[in-house]
Amino acid sequence: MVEVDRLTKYYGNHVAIEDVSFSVAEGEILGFLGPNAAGKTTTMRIVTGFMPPTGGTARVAGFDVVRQPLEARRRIGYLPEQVPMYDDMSVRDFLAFCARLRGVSGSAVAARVRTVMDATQIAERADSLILKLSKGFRQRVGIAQAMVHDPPILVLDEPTVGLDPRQIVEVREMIRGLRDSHTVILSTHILSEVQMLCDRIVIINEGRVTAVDTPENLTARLRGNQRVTLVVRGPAEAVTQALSATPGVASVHRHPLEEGVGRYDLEAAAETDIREPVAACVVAAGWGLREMGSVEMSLEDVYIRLTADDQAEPAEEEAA
Amino acid sequence: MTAILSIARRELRAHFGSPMGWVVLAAFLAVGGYFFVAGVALAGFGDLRAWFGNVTIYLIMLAPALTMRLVAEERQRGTIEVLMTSPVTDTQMVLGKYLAAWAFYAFMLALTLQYPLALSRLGAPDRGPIIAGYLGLLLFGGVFLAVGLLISAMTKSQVVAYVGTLFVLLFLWLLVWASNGEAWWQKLLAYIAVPTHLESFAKGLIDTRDLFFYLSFIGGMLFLSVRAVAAWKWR
Repeated sequence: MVEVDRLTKYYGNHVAIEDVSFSVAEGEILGFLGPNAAGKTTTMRIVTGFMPPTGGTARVAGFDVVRQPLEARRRIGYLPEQVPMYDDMSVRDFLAFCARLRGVSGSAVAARVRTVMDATQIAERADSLILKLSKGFRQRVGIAQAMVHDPPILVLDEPTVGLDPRQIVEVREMIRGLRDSHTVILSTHILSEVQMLCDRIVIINEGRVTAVDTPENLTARLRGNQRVTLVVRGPAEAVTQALSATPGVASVHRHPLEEGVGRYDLEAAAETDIREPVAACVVAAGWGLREMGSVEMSLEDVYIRLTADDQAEPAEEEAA
Repeated sequence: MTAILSIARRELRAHFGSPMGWVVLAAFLAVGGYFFVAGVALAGFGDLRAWFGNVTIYLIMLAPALTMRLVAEERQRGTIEVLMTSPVTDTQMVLGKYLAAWAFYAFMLALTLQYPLALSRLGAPDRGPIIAGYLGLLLFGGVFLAVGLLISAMTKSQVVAYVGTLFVLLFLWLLVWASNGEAWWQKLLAYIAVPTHLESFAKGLIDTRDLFFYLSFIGGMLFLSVRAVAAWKWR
């Protein structure tokens, strides 16, 4: 539904995004994840046809956003980051204006407006001026205007920013409800959000795509080899030697804690589970096994690793 | 066409819904009424020629107030992002906005039709010059509004749009002063000066050369406005 190929955008000499490529299949929810100022909004503004790229192409349902902008835009509903709206209009009038502007025929306008107001639960404020709405209502009006012409593709730039926890849950529920019937591109800097909602994730940092994958694969890929931490009472030398000698253990690092007690960080060889062998080893030698745990790498760690300057991984594999 | 009308409709509602629209309307009628009473009725003129001339002067101040927000406000508030990601061309947007400003101006002019009505009760004014004069004024204002739209499309500050437009309009008007003469450049200035083309209208003549001048001036300004809107995207 959406294909983005080597998009590049310069603002003067400043590079906003460089070589950004990804694609979104029909009915998929794609998460666009990155720290602030990573290039998320720039990418979305290009996909929605608000600004042209310096290089590269973006296609929406097969239509080039620069060459066939009207065809492309007809198929997109867009929630901009700042949710700009005409403050002096009522919710109903604003939505009707958006519907007409995007080609909803005159007789169908009222029904479409009613439908999206119900879907976003703003019907009770239909005749309020947008100026008077709370942040949460505003955001919902923003989502309603994106859906009012019933586009197959929705581009939502940080849809939950500035909402209170209950509203966040509601908006997420609504987005989840769009799966299958709509193709959604969702940008956010909140990890749990993509983890909950998205089929696939594009991680972007400093204008470059650093990873494209499913949430599960991303965590699995970066988790790498199993890591186990032990706290053991026993002679440092002997314990280190015995653990190193255990089959499957690739490396051992000791950090002294107190007299005769140390923490041992173990890394397993690829695809080996070393938890039971090392426990058995310590117990068999008669040392005191005080604590044992395996170190899980969450999506949070993946994200930080991918977006941290000093250890950013190069873009690899499927820059589909 | 639907898109143009949707934009024009929203814009007109914004004009009527904002204090600025009503302030401009009230100022126009108040000053226009004063000019009519002092400059026409009390002075004992039987036609509106003096009045038409005066209106062109205070339009210099009022036209920018009608146009300053057209595009600049959309940029300032960011609403242009909603507009320009809808399936609407730059041309449709510019035409919709121009149409709205012009319609509002036409509405203001329509309210002044009470002056010729009053005049016809006082005496028997010649109808031709009045009808032609109003047509001329519609076109004359159309030029000013098109200039204002262009300048509003070049900035995101409404204040800059107002002041910029005011000075350009003042300049276009003042060209008249330097144009009284027979030298080629004075004739050129006389041709470019917007008010000189109103004279024949006020006399009751609808000259196609003047019509052509006004319409092509408006067309040129609108074309440049479309370019200005498009150029902004490449920044």
